[in-house]
Parts: sequence; C-alpha cells; structure tokens
Amino acid sequence: MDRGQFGAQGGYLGPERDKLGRRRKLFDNEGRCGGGLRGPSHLAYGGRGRTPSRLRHGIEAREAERANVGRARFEHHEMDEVTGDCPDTDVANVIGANQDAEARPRTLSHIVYFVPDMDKMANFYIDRLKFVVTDKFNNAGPFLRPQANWDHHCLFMIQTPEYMQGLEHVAFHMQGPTDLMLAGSRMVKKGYESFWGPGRHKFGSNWFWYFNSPLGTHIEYDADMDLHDDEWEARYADIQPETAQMFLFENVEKWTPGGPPPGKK
Amino acid sequence: MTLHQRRFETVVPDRPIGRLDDIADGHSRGFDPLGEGRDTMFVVRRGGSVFAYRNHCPHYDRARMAWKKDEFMNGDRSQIMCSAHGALFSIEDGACTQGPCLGLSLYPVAVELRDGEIWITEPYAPGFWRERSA
Repeated sequence: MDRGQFGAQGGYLGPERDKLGRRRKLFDNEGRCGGGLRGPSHLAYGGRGRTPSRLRHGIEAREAERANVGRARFEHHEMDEVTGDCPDTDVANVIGANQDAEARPRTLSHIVYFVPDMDKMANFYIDRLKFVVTDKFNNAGPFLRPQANWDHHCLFMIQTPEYMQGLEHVAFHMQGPTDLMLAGSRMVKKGYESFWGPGRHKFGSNWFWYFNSPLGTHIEYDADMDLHDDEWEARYADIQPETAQMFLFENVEKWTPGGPPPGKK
Repeated sequence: MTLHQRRFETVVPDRPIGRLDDIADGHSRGFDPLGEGRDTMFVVRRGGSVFAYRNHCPHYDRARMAWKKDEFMNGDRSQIMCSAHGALFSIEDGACTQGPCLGLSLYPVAVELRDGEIWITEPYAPGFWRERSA
C-alpha cells in the first residue's frame, strides 16, 4: 500500500485521496492514523504504537523521540487497510463517532493493593526490584513503575487498616478516552455497576472508569496514562477528591430533566 | 430550593415497588422507588419473606453495592455482599459479618407484603441525589 510521503514538519502524509477518491487522513509509517495532538507518550506498544526499538534503546530512543515530536503528535488508530478509513479524524466531513466501534483492552495497565504498611511494601519493590516512585499520595501510598516501563504506574498501594486486605483493583489500558467511554458505557448498559467514573486522574493523567465486580474488588478501564523517564521528579500530595480527579462524570440512565415528576409516570 | 430537592422529596410511595413473584427465592433485586435513575434500595427474598435495605454500603459513602443489576448477594447467596470492597452482611438483620464495616449494619427499609405486592411503609428519602441538593 502506498504510504505517501513525509510532510514538511516531519508528519507522515498519506496520499491526499484514497482509491475511492475520498480525502485521507495523516498517518505514520506504521500505517496508523493521526487523531489529534498527543505527546510521544502515546506511542506505546500493545496497540498504542510504541515501537519495541524505542523501549530497547533507552536514552538514544528518548532523544530520537524528542526529535520526532512532530511526527509523534498523533493519537494512533488502526487504519482500515481496505478502505484507508481512520476512526477519529480532523478532516472535514469525516464522521468520527462510531457507536459500534470495537473497544477492547490493549494491555494490563496496573494493579492496586491494600497494604498495612505502604513504606515497607514500597521499599521492597524499590530496593529489591529497582522500581521508581513517580508520585505519592502521602496519606495513601506511592505510584511505582519498573525502570523499563515508562507508564506512570503499574503498581499502586493504598495503606489500609488491618480489616482491609487484598486487591483494590486491576486496570486495563484502553486505546484512548473514546474506547474507554465506549467500553464503560457498554458495561453500564449491560447492568454492571459503575463505582467511580468516568473521569480523569491528576497523578498519571489517566482517564478512568471503575466498576464493581463479583470478586469484591474493582475493575478499571484506563487510558492515556503519562509516561515518565529518569528525569522526572516525584510529586507529593494528600489524597482528596480534588487531587485524585481532574473531573468526573456520572451516568444516570433514567434521569430526564423534562420528564414527569416521580409518582406521575 | 434546588431542582433536585423539588424532584426527589422524601415520601411514602403511593404504589408498590414490585411483586414478591418478581424476585426468585433466595435472590435479590434492586428498586428505584423515587425514579432517581439508580436503584437506591434492594430486596432479598427468602421463601415468603422479604428483607429490604438501602443500596448504600455503611463502609463507604455513596458506595453502591451490586456488581450488576440486581446482584446483591455473595456467590452462594447465603449473605448480602457489597461488591465495592467485599463486605458481607446478614440477610435477616443487615449486620456486617465480614469486611471493613464490622460493627455497622445496612440501613433497613420498612416494607410489607400486601397481596403479593411489596409496599414501602415509611417515608423514603432520596438516595442517589441526596448530596446534590445543598
């Protein structure tokens, strides 16, 4: 398939029109479509576009990525190989919303434990496994990442009293907010109980939507988590609604402002 | 007075919330007596008896308890379970038997059966919207 040519700013431009004469969207040399302004953090593996070579080459890759910011400024979507269509686009007259689009988890994102002593637990990962603290809620626990993984956290801990033990939640990476909203709203429609969300966290910047589960723990969809490298300096804050979430929506299925008052249906 | 206070007042509902036959024996079912858009209470059926509680875990404010519509029980349906953090409660009296709210109990809803219909017998306050009416 003709991949087009590099654009003036490093962006990789596809042919202006596809075989059917429709205007085509920017896409990169992996055949994925751009969907808006994103940082290099969104070139992730496992469907988010981060190439294994970037992970392997460490510093050189980081520098290359910085140099390539222009080329990396796209939220990647799989392009339809047959039609060349891209889901979310900023091209005129291209419909972005697709109620029936597939929305599946891409990777396991992170796991969150209830722990009796957050520092003792964190130090095990830091001292023995060389994990790095990216941020910390002083009164709850630290966000940790292994050094080979730039995701803000793959491990978080919440210090709890003795009667709270075990797993708070497991989170799955969705491709972006659109996939998160699609998957979460499908869960709601099927009757699953939303616990918190959809919203967006401050530490990690990840979009979130938590659901109850029959395990008595939560399951989370998340998307677009920040990446951090060795130059990052951890932030510290007390956990409160204002620090934990940038904003929050709540789905109310039957609430219609123009509807009849209760008891007069 | 806010919109939500006007819309969702504390009242004794003037009609039944459902029928005993709507609930399989040993199972639970959620209800939304005031039409708030959420199940704000649930009923567990045991034979010809019903046990009704607010859908609000005493452990954690605003925590809704089911993991799916009408699923308020643990795996073998021997106890009520809050699937937010796993607390277990006695069906008969709502007392927490395991988990983070030991010593606390579910908030009961006064109901009675009339000709196979489940009626709320005391004033019922909004659940979902209660904190948004400040």
